Amino acid sequence: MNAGAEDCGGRRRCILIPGLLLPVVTVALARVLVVLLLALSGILPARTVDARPRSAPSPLAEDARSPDVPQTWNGARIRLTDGRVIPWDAAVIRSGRVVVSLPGAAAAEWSVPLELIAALEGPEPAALAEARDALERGQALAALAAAGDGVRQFAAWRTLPGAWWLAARTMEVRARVRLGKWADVARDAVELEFLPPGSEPRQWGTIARVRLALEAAASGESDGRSSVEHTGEPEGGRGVPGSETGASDDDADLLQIMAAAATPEVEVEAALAAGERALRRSDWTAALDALLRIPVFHPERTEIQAAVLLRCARAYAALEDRGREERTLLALADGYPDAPETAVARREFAERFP
Amino acid sequence: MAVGSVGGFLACGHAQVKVPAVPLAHLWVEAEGHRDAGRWVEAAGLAERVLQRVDQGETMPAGMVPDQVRVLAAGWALRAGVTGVAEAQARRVVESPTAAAWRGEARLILGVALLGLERGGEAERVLEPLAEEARFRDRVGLLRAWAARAAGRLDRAAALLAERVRLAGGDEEKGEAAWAWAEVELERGETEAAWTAVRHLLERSGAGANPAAAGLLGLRVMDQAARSQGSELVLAVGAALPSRDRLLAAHATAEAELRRRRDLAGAAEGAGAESVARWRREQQYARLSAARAALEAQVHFDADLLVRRARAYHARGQVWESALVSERVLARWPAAPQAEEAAAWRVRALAESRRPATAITAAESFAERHARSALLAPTLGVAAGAAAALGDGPRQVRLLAAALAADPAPDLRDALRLRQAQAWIGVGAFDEAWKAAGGLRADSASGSWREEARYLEAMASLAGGEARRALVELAAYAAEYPEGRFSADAAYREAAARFGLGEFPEAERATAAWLERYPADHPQRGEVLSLRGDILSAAGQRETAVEAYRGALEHRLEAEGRAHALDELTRLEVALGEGARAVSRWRGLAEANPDDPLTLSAAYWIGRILSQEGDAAAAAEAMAALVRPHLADPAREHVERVLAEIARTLGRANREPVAPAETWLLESAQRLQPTARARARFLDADILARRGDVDAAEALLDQLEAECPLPALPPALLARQGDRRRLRGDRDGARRCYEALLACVPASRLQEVALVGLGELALAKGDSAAALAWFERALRSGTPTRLAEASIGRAAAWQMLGRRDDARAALEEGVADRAWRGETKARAWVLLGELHAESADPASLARARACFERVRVAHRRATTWHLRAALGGGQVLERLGERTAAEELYRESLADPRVAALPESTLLRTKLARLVNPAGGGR
Repeated sequence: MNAGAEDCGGRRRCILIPGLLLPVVTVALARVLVVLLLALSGILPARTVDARPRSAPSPLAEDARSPDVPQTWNGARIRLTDGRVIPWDAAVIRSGRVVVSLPGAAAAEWSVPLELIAALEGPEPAALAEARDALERGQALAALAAAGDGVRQFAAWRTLPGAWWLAARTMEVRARVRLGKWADVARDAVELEFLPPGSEPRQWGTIARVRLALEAAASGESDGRSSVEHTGEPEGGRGVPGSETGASDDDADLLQIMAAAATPEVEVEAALAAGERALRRSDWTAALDALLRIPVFHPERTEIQAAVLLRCARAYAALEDRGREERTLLALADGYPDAPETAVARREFAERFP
Repeated sequence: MAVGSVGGFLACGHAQVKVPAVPLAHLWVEAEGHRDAGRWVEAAGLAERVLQRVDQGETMPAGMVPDQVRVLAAGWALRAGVTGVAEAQARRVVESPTAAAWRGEARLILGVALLGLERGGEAERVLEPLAEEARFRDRVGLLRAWAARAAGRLDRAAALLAERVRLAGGDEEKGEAAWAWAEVELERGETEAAWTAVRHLLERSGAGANPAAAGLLGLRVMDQAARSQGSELVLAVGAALPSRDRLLAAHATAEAELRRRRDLAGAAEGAGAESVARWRREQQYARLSAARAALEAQVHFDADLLVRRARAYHARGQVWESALVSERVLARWPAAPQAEEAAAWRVRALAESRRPATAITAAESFAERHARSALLAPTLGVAAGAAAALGDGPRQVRLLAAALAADPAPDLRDALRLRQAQAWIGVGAFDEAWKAAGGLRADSASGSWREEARYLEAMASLAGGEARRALVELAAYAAEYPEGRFSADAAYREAAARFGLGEFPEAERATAAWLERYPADHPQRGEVLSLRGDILSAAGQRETAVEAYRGALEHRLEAEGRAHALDELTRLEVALGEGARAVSRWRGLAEANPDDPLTLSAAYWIGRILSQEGDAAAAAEAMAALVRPHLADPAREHVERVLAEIARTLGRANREPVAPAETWLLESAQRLQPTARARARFLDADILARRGDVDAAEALLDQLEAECPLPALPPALLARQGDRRRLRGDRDGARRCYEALLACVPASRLQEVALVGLGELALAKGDSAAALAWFERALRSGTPTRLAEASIGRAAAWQMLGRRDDARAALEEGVADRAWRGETKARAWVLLGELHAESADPASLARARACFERVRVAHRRATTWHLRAALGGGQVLERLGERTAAEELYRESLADPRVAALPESTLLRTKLARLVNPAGGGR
């Protein structure tokens, strides 16, 4: 369109065309003006380089806000590197940018590159709170579902500070632990390898790996193989449990976990796993060192004390410490009269201390 | 008139200023205004003024009752902290005959005022009647308890407080009562009741809670329980108390709730009882804040708690638990003041839980970190005991020296000196022991151990071969301590000394005198009789010697003494033609105590006696009878020792062929039992090997594993199979045997064989970290069957890991140790030589050469190491430019047919060829 510059060739056409073109020109000019204004204000591509280190491949190019992902996050907002904030509910990720719908205008929206996002700010999302509550009530399945919602909600944002993705994944791991889904926990740990070893999901991953190896070894024995022939390669393949080395990487990892567990539940499970491994390689001292942590530091876990005490008594027997073996069997029988292990303890006591 | 201070109050109440006739009602309104604004001093002052004017004859304004006003004034004075005025006003109402309606309120305020004035007894009497009035009963409950406590009537206070905890309606009062109850019970020394009170306090939530106080009180309960009740209560408290962070978090919630209630109540004021209630709440809030500040100041509360638990566990003999708790303190609060005590407890707990190696390491670490600690000497003393348990005499001596250097208290110092003298004897340093004991005797600070020192001096002389000196010292001991604790033993030792000097008649008389002097049930009688037997036997009096030995065996004897007496008696009986009697005795012993180590001696003697009579088969059968009932039991480890004796008897050359052991050793039912069959097969193999048919022996043993599953093999056979397979290069087979050995329950004494074997397998595989773990576990196992092998294996692992200094130090210690012999010593020399040879400097190469030469000279029979020493020595000579010497060395080594037969000898040939023909090289 070049009404001003073109030779029309005919006066009528030249008069008509400007009239028709005027609204179009006005709108176009307005658009140009808007674009200019926006460019001046820095919203349009500003070529800012985000210097934040990325610890894992960024998924932020994915589109979020699929229908099955919870959208609301009360009181949350997105803070940009220049200090501006965007309400969470007004933003979506599309094609590698955060797109913000302008209020009122039906089709008006603006976007910023993902690199301009400094952090997400907001309280604990409802999904996570629900997962936490469900875990406390002992409803692990419900917790898993709620945590999964949280994971999906923040999947697209997960590398950003303030995103609750890792918290949601951790809650997922906890729920899987409660459900005994050790294979899933071990797989989670592989996916979360970028986390430091002292983080809760990684610690659970180590425990899950050891648990799976122990279960594989136990099932090998029940197949009739000699108890000393198992070498059960665990998933993840990180070290053969005990048979060739006496103390493998997993044993060292479990020791570290017991020394600096993320939660009491982690410490208990690590102690049980370490104790079981030590018993299998006949390292009675290491077994006692692991298992006794449970009655000493976690007496509230009454449901496992009897089993632990029985194993401790056997370790004392192997070390020929008859005094402590006797006391332990008596403590078990007196303290947990209804536990299934107590019948075994009474029988062993009668045999060993006639 | 506005007043703004106590002085102002006084001015209001007592000034002689002529006050204009402000109507009393106006004054009262003003006073109420001050009350509403929380200006208690002003309010109380104006109220006092009103009452003064009423006393002077003015009429109280309509609607106001003097007693009521007095009660209000007393309450406001209480809030203002002017307790004397509050008391005066309240007392007037209490004593007024017309004040029935307000007497109760007044009593309440009077009681509180008296408490504030620390007149608890009076407060108690004032408050007592209120307990009968329903509307005051609850409010006055706690106050009565406080009054009783202030009056020193702790029993009554405790009862009232316990009642309050049970019956009080509100959280706040329950919490206050529980806290006070805990304090009172602690004062009374009723620790269990104090803990009950603290538990109530811990269980409270909201405004009734005082978690910080509960935590601090809990520690006090633990301390009191440790002194009086025993450790069980200490542990119960320790397990129940939350961590400091959790206590402070809960405490913040409680404070916030109380603050909220206080603020809600506002300044609106009712009658006197409400003043008291508000006053109490303010006091409660102040106490809550003080408790929080006290807990915040105890930065190491958690470490403190754990150390108490460690002590209590130890006192109950739960040393494993004590060690765990101490380790937690060290791991989480390494810089806390409590870390020192925790570290000391840890050493004790490790030593007492039979982890001597770890205990020693922990003690050495303690010495580094707490070099000036008062706990250093006792801790090192404990570590010295751990070294003794490991049989590591030199280390025990070093640790005791370090303990003495740490300036212990006098009593401990003398005890350590005595142990040091004993330790010197243990390592054979008798001269040092004698000097140490003599020094202790001469200058013992505490005087506690003089007798022991005197006695030990004599023992050191005797053990050191200074029999004459020992006799003098024993005589000195007997003179100084005629009825001393060691008199009987001293008399026995005198006889032994004389025997050692060859003074047989004097020695015999000494034993006779001993037997005469001491009763028949004296625990040493057997020992003396045995000595008498030795003396008489040496003097050629065989018959009386036999009597003495027989007499000795009827009394208590230590295992070694019993074995000696039996051996000597048997020798004499055989010499006197009474071999059958000896055989019968041995047979009886073995049948009665099949697990006794003497069963092996029984087998030996029976075998020897019957063999000497020419009947090897009878000897074998007699020995087999000893073990036949136990052949199917893998846990009976003595069976292998007896079978070895049978093999020795039947294995001598020129014997007739022996039928397979299965046919004559096993009963018919045992032929189906894998363990029994395995033992029979091993016996056959041993006999064949002793007769020189090694291949047939190996073939038999190769079949064994196919027929007998590993768990059925007894520990000794597992150990032998494991070693055999390892030496043949069957690593998987060896590993399976060793793991089966480790899995034996109870743990076999031979498990160290498995640990060392697994370590060697790991070394062969190049897994030095795993090898080190296995060898260290072997060294920690406390049963030094293969101490030397484990030590050298560890040195080899260190060498592979690049820890050359550690390896070198260990190897140098090993080659100096007389207990290291044969193959083990040869290996140590070779490894040491190889370490030295890694360096290029001539001095190191010379040392390497000396090490290799040592093996070639003194350990030729250790063929593998001889060859390796030849290789190493030759290489060193070549590096030193001594090609001719190297050539000679290679030739000389290859001249040994045993070396030449080894596959690795081709390396020697290659090197020799290269030296002879440098251009052509070796093929």
